[in-house]
Amino acid sequence: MTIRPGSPLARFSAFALLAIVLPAAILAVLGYLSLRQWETSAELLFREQARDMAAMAAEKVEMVLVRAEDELLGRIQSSLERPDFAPASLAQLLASAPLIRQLHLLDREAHLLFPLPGTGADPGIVSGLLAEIPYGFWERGGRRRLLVGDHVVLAAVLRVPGKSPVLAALSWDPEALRREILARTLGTLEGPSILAVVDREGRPVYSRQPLDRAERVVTVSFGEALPFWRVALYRPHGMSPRDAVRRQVVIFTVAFGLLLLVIVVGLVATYRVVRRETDMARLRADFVANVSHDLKTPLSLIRMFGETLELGRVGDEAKRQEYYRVITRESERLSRLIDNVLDFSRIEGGRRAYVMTPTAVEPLIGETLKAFSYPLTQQGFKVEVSVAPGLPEVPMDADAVGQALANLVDNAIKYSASRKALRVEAVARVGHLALSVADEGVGIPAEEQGRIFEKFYRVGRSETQGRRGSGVGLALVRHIAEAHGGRVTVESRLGEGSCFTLWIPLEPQTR
Amino acid sequence: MPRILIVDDEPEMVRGLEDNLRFEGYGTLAATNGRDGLALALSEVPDLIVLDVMMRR
Repeated sequence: MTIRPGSPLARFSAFALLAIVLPAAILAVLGYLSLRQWETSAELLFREQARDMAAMAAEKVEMVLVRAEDELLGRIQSSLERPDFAPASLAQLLASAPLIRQLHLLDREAHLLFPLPGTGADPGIVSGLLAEIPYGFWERGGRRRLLVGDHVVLAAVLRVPGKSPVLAALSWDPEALRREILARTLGTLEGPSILAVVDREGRPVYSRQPLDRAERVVTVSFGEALPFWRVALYRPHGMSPRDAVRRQVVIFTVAFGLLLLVIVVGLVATYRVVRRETDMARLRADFVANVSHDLKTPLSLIRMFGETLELGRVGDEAKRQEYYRVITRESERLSRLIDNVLDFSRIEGGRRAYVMTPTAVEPLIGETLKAFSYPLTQQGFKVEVSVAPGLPEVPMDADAVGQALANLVDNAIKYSASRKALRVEAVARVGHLALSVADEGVGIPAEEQGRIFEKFYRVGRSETQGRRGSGVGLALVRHIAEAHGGRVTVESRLGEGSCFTLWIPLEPQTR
Repeated sequence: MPRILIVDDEPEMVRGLEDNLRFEGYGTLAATNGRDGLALALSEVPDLIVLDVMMRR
């Protein structure tokens, strides 16, 4: 279907576009803008909350770690305070404290008290420790976290009454830290966001759940307790306000597209209905005009020839005879036409009754063709009739089938151009009588062959312009065929001719 | 003698009109379709044309 500018469809579409699509589009744009605004503020809020949450988590981890440090230092202190202190008891303590990777004890003279020399002491830590201890640390005491090589070493001066102070240096086991501190602390925090701990390169050290394609929102450092690590807050994939907006936009776009589709389908459907109705109205009007013209022609002829005879203007007897024949012929034509129209209106009103009686086919064809003998001979038609030998009598309404046949013959005459040939054939085929009427006339375009049996429809081309017809002939033929339980088919090539076949069942139909 | 052109695709109509007009003493010209009718009208220039309004070609 093509849409021409200015056509009713174009106007209709433009109206629909303005009335429905434009407001919807404006709504969509406004909706999108407000969504974007919401996205920005939501993102801001989220980042703030994320930062708070990460800071809180870092604080909590630090607190737990300090508590663990307190506990371990306390235990070491109490070991040292025991009168029977022996380094071996520290080894026992270490075995029960997986958090401690290494423990070194030094006295004021930098003598290694634990571990005993040659039993796993780390000379690097010892020397690094000595280099890093700030001035006055022994006197001030307290706790210090020192960076020794790649490790954080917790240094504390432990004082035992009656003994010289001892410097304890602890370094943490990362695996145990992850397990004992991070997992226990961060693992208990709930929420859709993922809390994780990353190292200096941003590689995750610990995360509560798999990070997959999660997006890192903020990182917060732990402070000096865990200088190499930072708390990071991740947002699972597809959870950001932007993703929400994107989803909304997709949903909205799809809904909008569907709406458009529905509108377009509705428009097309409405247009088709409207066009069908207007076509039908136009065809009905044409029908009235065509039928009136068709009725007038024979009537005028009858009247003219009658009056001419009446006025005694024809002296020649042979000519008079010819005038009488014209009057008879035109009267027949008129009855045929009136029959068609009346039958058509009977069919339309569902009042057409059919009386089926076994009928011989050959005489039926003969009688029908006899009615057309004048135009056939006058126009120089080559008429060929072939009836298959042994064709049985077929149950049918002889008047109706004769009428259908007459309509087909009439069409063949009407739509023949220079090649005037008519072939009527009757054969038995697949349980049916196949009665076909073929011409070598103008033919019917393939795309119109489906519509020619519709009432009032006439093939609209210059070749048929001016050919008279009511547009009900073939509709009548189809109705008659169907009333017999048969059908009518057409084969036609443009410019080569048409062949209409009436299929009437050979056996009576029980209906 | 005035000449009248008759254009109608019904041959009977042409014949009847011709007979009557000749009887009345007119000269007649005839065509059975619009194309021929137009050609005759242009070449012969009749005094009157009796024309069917609904015709092929």
